[in-house]
Amino acid sequence: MKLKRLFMDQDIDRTPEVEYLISKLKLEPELVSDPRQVYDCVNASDDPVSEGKTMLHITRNQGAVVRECPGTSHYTCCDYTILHTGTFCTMDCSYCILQAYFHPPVLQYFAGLDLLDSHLNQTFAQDKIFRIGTGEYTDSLIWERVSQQPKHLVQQFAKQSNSLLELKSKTVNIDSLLDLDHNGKTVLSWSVNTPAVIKSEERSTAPLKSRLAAARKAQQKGYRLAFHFDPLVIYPGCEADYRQVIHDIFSHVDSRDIVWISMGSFRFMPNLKAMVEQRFTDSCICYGEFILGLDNKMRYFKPLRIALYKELISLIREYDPNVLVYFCMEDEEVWEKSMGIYPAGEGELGHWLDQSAVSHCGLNSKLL
Amino acid sequence: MKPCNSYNAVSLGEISPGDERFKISARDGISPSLVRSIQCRGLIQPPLVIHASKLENASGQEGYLIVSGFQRLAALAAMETPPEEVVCGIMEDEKDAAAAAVMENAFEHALSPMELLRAVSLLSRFMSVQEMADDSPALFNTQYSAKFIKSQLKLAGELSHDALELLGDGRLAVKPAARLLQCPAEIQAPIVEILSQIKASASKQMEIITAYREITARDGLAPNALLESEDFQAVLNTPTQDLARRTNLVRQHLVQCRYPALEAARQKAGAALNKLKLPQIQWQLPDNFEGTDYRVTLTFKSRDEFNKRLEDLASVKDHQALEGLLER
Repeated sequence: MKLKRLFMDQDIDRTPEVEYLISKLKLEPELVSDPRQVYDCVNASDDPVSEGKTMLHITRNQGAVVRECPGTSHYTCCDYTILHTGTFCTMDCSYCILQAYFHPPVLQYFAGLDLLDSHLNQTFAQDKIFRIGTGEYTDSLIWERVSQQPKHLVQQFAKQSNSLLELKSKTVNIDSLLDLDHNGKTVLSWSVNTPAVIKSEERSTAPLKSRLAAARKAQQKGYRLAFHFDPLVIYPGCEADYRQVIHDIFSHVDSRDIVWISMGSFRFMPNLKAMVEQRFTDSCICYGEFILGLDNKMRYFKPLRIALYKELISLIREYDPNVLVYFCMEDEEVWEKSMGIYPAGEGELGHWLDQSAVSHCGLNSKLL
Repeated sequence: MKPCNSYNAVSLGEISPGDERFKISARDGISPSLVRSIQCRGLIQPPLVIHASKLENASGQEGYLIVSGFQRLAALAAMETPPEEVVCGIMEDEKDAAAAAVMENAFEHALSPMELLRAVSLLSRFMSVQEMADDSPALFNTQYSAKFIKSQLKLAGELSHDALELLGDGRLAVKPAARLLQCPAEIQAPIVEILSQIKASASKQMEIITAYREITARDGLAPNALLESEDFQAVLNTPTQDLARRTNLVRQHLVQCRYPALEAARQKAGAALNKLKLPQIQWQLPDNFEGTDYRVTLTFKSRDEFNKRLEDLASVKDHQALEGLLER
C-alpha cells in the first residue's frame, strides 16, 4: 500500500536516521504535537484499517522497548523476546490480528537508534540466551528500503554473543542487509504459506517463490534462516499445497542453516471475524471448523489441526530429521500426537530453541 | 409539532381507505369487536385525516387521506349501517401528519419492528436522522440514537419485500435482519425462504443465517444449492405441523454441514455417554474437545449412596464405551 501522508512528532530529533527515512519516503512530514492528531486522521475514515496503512507516524517509543512475548494461557509458549521497533503493517493480510489489535491502527516508526542501543546493551550484558524478534507488532522488514534501522540492528547483534536477532517478514526486502558482517547472529525468517492462501489472504505481500528466492540469497550471504508456517489454513487440498511448500523450501535452501521451523494453525480473536468479512469480502478464512479455544481465541477443531500438523511434520522429517520444528501456542496433546514429544517443563521449549540458536548462530553455549 | 387545527365532520365517502402512506400499525383487516364497540358505544377517539391538497405528492388523489385510525374507519365502513359522516381531526401539514401517525401508535403500544421501520421511513421524508434521534422521546416514546435510526432506515430501504414480510409477522427479528443484509445479495432470498418455513428465535435465526452464508461461501456453492439439496429439502419437508421441531431440524442440519468433524465427534461422544449412563452420575466432556479434562460428578446423600456410586463407576472402568469416549 502506498503511503500518502507522513506525520512526525514536532519535538523529535532530526537525527541522520530520521533524515534518511524522510529523504527516502519523499513525503513532506506534517509535524504533530499530539499523537491524537494522527489518530483522528485515521479514525475519520470509514475504513480506518486501510487508511492507517497509508499514513506513517515517525515517533519515539513511549513504552517498553524490549519485552517478553505475552503468549497465552493453556498453550505452550516459546519464551520469545520482542524488540519494539514500530507498529502495524503496510501489507494487508485478512487474518492479521493487528487490524483489531491497535485502536486506532496506526503505522508507527519508532525513531531512535540510541534508544534501541541502550536497551539492547542491557540485554547483551545478561548471562542468558535471548531470542529477539521485531516481527510481533509489525513486519520486520517493511521499512528496510527506506530505513537504517534493520541494518543497524544486524550490526549491533553481530558484536555480541548471547542474543539472536530474528527478522521475520513476508517481504523480500533484504538488499541492505546482504553485505553486512552479521557474524551469524541474525536469522532472516519468512512466514510462508501456500500460493493459494497468499493470493487470497495476503494482499501486497511477496509471492512464495520470491520469499524463497530471497531466503536462498540470504543464505548465500551466510545468514541463518527460519520459516514460519503460521497461520496454517485448512481448506480442501491444503495438505498437498503445504507439502509442495515444504518441498519448495528444501529445494531452495540448505536445511543445515534452518535454525527452526514453527507451525501454528489459524487462530483469531472472535471480533476479528466481522472485520475480515467487511474488509475481505471474498475471504472464507473464518469459515473453517473453528471452536472457542481455552484462551478464548477461535481455533480449528483439534483433530483437524493434529492431522495437518502430523502430515507436515513427517514430511519435514523426511527432508531433514534434524531441523527443529516447534508449535506456536499448542498444548501437550497436540505436541504428543503430532510430534511424539512435548516440552513439558517450565521454559523447556525455550531451551530447545536456545540450543538451536547456540548451535546455528554461535551464541555462547555456556549460557545454556 | 402542532396539534391538528380542527375537528370537523367529514363524509366517509370522501376518505380514501386505500392510501396507506401514513399507516404505521401492522394490524390489518377488520376487527369485529371494534365494529361492535363502535355500534354500541360510538367512536371515542376521532381518526386523523389530511386533505389531499395539502400533500406534496398527491398523485391525483382527491378528498382525505387517513393519518391514523385505519382500523376505526374500516370498522365504521363495515357497520351494518355505516354513518355518512365521521368527526375527524384535520391535519394541515404533511410533516405534522407523519409525526402524528407515528405518535398515535408509539404512545399506545411499543412499536413492533415492522412498525418502527414504517415509522422511520415515513419520517425520513421530512426529517433528518439526527432530527429524528433528537426528537425520538416525543416521536417514539423512547430514546433512539442516530446510529440506531440509521440502521432501521437501512433495513427499511434494503430488505427485500419477502424479508420485510417476515419481519412483519415476527419470523425475522431486527438483529438477524441486519445480519441478513450483510450477506451477499444473492443468498438472501434462499435464507428468507428457509426462515419463512420455520419459526425460530432471534438467536437461532442468527445461527441459521450465519451457517447458510458460511457453508455457501466455504464450499463455493451456488446461492440456492444448499437449500435445493436433497438432504435439506428432506429436512424442510419433514411431515410435521410443529414449527419448533422443524426449526430444530433445520438448525441441526445446518450445524452438521457447517461443522462436520466436530458434530461427528459430538455424536460419537453422545452415543458413548448413553451407554455409560449411571444413576446420579454426570459425565462432563471437555468443551469442544479442546481441553483434555473430563469430569465426573457424583451425587449422594449418605455413605451408602457414596459407596454405591463408586461401585457403579468402577463397573464401567473397562467398558468399551469409556474407551471410545476417551479415544480422541
